[in-house]
Amino acid sequence: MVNTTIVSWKIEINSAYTATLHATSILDRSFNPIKDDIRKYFDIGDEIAAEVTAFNRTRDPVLSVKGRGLGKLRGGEIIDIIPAKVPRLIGRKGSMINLIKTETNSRLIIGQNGRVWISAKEPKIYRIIERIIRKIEREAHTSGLTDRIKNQIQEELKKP
Amino acid sequence: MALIKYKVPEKLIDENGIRIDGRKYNELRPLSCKVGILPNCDGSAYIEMGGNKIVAGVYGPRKVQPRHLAHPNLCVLRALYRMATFSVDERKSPAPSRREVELSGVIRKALEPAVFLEYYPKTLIDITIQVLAADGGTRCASINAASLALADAGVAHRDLISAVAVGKVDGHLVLDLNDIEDKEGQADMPLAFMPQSNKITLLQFDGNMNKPEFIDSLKLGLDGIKRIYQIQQEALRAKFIDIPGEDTEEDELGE
Amino acid sequence: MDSYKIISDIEKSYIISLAKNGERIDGRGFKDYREIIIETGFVPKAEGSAKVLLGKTQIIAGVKVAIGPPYPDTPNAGVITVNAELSPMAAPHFEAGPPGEDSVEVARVVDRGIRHSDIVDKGKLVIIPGEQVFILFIDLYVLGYDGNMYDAGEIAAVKALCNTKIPKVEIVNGQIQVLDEWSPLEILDYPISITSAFVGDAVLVDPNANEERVLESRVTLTLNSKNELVSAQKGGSEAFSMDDITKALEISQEIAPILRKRIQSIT
Repeated sequence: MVNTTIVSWKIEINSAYTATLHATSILDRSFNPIKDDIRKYFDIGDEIAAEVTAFNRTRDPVLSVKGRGLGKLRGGEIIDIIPAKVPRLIGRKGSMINLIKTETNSRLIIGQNGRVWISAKEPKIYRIIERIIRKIEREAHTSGLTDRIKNQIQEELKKP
Repeated sequence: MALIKYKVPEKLIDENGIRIDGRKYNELRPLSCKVGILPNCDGSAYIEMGGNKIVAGVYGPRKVQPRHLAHPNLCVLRALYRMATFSVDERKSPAPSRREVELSGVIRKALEPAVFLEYYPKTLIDITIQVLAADGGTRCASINAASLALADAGVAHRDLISAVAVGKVDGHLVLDLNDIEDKEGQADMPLAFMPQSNKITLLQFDGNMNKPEFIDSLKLGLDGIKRIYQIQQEALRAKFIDIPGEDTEEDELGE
Repeated sequence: MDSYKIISDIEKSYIISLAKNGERIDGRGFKDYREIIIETGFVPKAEGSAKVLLGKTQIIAGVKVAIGPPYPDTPNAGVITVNAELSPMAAPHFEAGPPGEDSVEVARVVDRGIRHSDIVDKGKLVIIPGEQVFILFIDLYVLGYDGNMYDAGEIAAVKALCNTKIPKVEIVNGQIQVLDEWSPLEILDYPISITSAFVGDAVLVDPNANEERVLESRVTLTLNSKNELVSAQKGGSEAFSMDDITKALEISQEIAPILRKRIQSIT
């Protein structure tokens, strides 16, 4: 969240265009600017997981947080990867991201804009996941990557 | 005033057709390129072309600031060419000179034809070029680096842009002028092409030439540019490193 | 970019909670400097040059030697002047244009470290007393930003000076003749600057970009080889306590000799 109007939020989505989230998308009833303060729900400095519902040549992107797993992100850490590498980080049918999640017992949400939210149990795990993600970024174009990543995670977890 | 004045050689090319740095008329200076050398840019490249050492960094497509620069249907390119104070014999003032402002525009115009500007409406691509050492032909070397940086940034483009300066010294046409040939020669023609279509995106000329010389210069330049193009492409390929111990078969997930 | 000023809550709380546990986002210890890579003399037209990488922060320093009049208030001393330029390529939020506060701050911090450590005997740079002296222009270009331009800039400037050669001059009939004979500049000291950031009770040295964005309570202390303080500059927009600064000085005095040895052994 980088700015608000009375009825919407302006959001940085790591793109050349600033996105908008309307208050009406998070409240089922219609939003009353006199009674409701938009910043009670999301404030400047908050990070969210959202979906782009509209974007074309004539309008900037519009977001929505209706949907499973969307909404304000609490705690954790966010790192940025090159958006072109996102499919590799997800893997076919989620194979790569699920591998990371289960092997490290952490939560991950990957945005198509290259922003990755990680929630892990301890600092050491965060650093392992960061290293793994950077490795996937570098080696995205090679084969046998999934196996190499699995081995690396298991070895790193064994260390103190 | 520069501390030591260099001596101007009597002849720039000898009876065997050898130039003052040992090259023949159609030889390029040593050229090397590397991409992805800056930590924050979307794309970047470093080039050494003769004694030129130049860094180019690209951000974008990004938000347009100031807003009034935005175009509703196209991406806007902005180029900034700057020379370091220590890049030349006599310390250059840090403030931008008129020449730097002119070259910023020249470089931008040389790069624009290659970019699919219509893919990124209402956005801006910023290209920054920093000359660390200058040795004649900086605008051409800058274009070579900037084009690589754009490709490194993943900006959609028709082709790379390759550039070189052709000139005339002691009556002979020569390719890839060095600093002294640039300053003391009889003509200087910076050229840039899109090598796949042989289309010209930069042409400037200072000096004295007749028509056959001019046509021959274009051909000489294009010949050099094809070689430069290959080296640029190699630099982009080098981004994709070989991993030791990599399997040649696909793993179980077909990846 | 306006949005750069807005700090994400997640980023801020992550850094602070790690610090409470004695950790940093990149796994370093509080007293650890990042990897330092140095290359000298690679700019042929500069009389001295150095390229420094401190983590991902990348700075190039070039020294140009000129001859000209001294400052009016120091007629029997040569001149050393430091200038810094933050290239827009260094970070997405760096803007092109005339030097802003940030670039002047980097230049001034590096300048004062060099000036007050007496690294060069400016008396020896005099050619005709009161009229003509050697002027050393140290120009820093920041090409990559990942925090702590101050220490990286200091390392680059000092290395460039160590690498600098000045020409022999002769005075013939009152005119200065510059000969093509060069000798290294005499280096008398080796200032090291240590930038610290405060978070809670902790003192972290060599903050990276994320730490600099979130921790607005910082100081740069420059020490000479006798471990004396030669210059100090508070950075950031938040206050710190007298205990904080005392701790920072102690840590700086502990680290500076080790860092100096490490840097001197690189090239």
